[in-house]
Amino acid sequence: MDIPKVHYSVLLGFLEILDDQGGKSDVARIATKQGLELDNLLPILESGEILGLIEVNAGDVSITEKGHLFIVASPKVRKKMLRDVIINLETFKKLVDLVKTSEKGYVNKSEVLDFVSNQTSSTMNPADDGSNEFDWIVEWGREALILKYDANDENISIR
Amino acid sequence: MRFGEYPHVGKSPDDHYFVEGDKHSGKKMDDYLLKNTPILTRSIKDTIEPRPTPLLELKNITKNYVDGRGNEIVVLNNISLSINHHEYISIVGPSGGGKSTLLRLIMGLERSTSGDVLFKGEALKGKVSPHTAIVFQSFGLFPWLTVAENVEFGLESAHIAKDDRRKKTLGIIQEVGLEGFENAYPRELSGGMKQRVGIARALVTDPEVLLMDEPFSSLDPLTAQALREEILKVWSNRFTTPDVVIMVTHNVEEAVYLSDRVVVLSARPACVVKEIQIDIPRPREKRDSSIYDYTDQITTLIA
Repeated sequence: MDIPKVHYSVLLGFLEILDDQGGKSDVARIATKQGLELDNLLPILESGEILGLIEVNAGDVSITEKGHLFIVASPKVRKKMLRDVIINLETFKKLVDLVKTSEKGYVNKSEVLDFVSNQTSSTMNPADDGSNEFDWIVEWGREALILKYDANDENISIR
Repeated sequence: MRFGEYPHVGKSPDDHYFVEGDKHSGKKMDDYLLKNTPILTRSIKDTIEPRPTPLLELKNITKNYVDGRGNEIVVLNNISLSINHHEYISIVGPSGGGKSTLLRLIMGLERSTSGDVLFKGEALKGKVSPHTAIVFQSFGLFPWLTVAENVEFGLESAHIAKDDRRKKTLGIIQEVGLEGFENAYPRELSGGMKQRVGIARALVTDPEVLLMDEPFSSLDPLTAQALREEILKVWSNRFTTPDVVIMVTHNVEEAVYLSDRVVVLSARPACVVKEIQIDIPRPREKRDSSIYDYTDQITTLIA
């Protein structure tokens, strides 16, 4: 799925460190320096690219103009910047439609899990029930002020 | 520099008398200036403004415990520290050396065996300080409360109307980047978000002094970096509290990067080995070679 799969603070820390290196670094060098294994580094790079904050090119990673703005922005502006991107990601577009067209005005976790497995059936590990994807949807949906999730009744609604 | 413009140039009461007296003029003053130039030029701000009362003072703090066998253990031995307005202080030293105990004493959660903690010149006398809040390494959140409820809990003992409490809580939540997570439970949060809640809960009381006990050491390195920058932003804003941050850490490089002054404590019983002023202009760059120089110097003192 086309959504960020790394915690917000981890991505932010990566941006700060990259910024401190002059905004550009060799991918391998920054990974070694920060003690990052490939498994940890790849989701950071992918998420940063999805959000338009970094660019990866020929083994180099650099902060985009938007990424520079993001670093110095207030929390409020940061959320606005994230929202503008995330609300246009395919997964979120479809999910927001799903919630909007639901009679109750919210969808339950079980419905979202079905939705997730339909989206990712070809790429997903069969052992994965989609709850991992679900958690990322909730985390970034909250972060970008798009979704609300209530862990007590497990319902997602639009913020 | 005209001499008469700086009424409080001296460090000791004797110096004050010497400088302020009318009879000291001419050559005597020149001699004085020559002799004391390093003091005069070190901190212009201090010399121009009348020196204010330090925000916080620890005076000869000693803390003893009696262990299970009835033996007396000295944890802190005659610690004195003077902390000025708008300082970021780090306390480093060997583990088990009583650094956390010192924070608990400043907070008023424990009483010293002898010595005083003074806030703006007034002794704390064993009361919990209303001007101080603390952030813990392990976050210290209530798992059954939401983010907003955890933050609002910081205001539990304050006499504030319910609506105002809510308003204040939501304002702080926004400031630390937690907006959107108001009704999430701690178990739903990443470590970074949990510590943001810990920070928000401390800030909601408008503390003049923010105490932090190893605030970043249970976080992964990237998250820790992100939160260091967030704390710097919060502290740098002179229009909002806190005025002073006192942080205990075992990460010397972190202490140097963040602080105006690093206080090095000895192994138990802890006393102040040295106070090191970190003269690196802000905003600082982590690649700055002087950060390594200071880190090296301080690490040598501890090891």
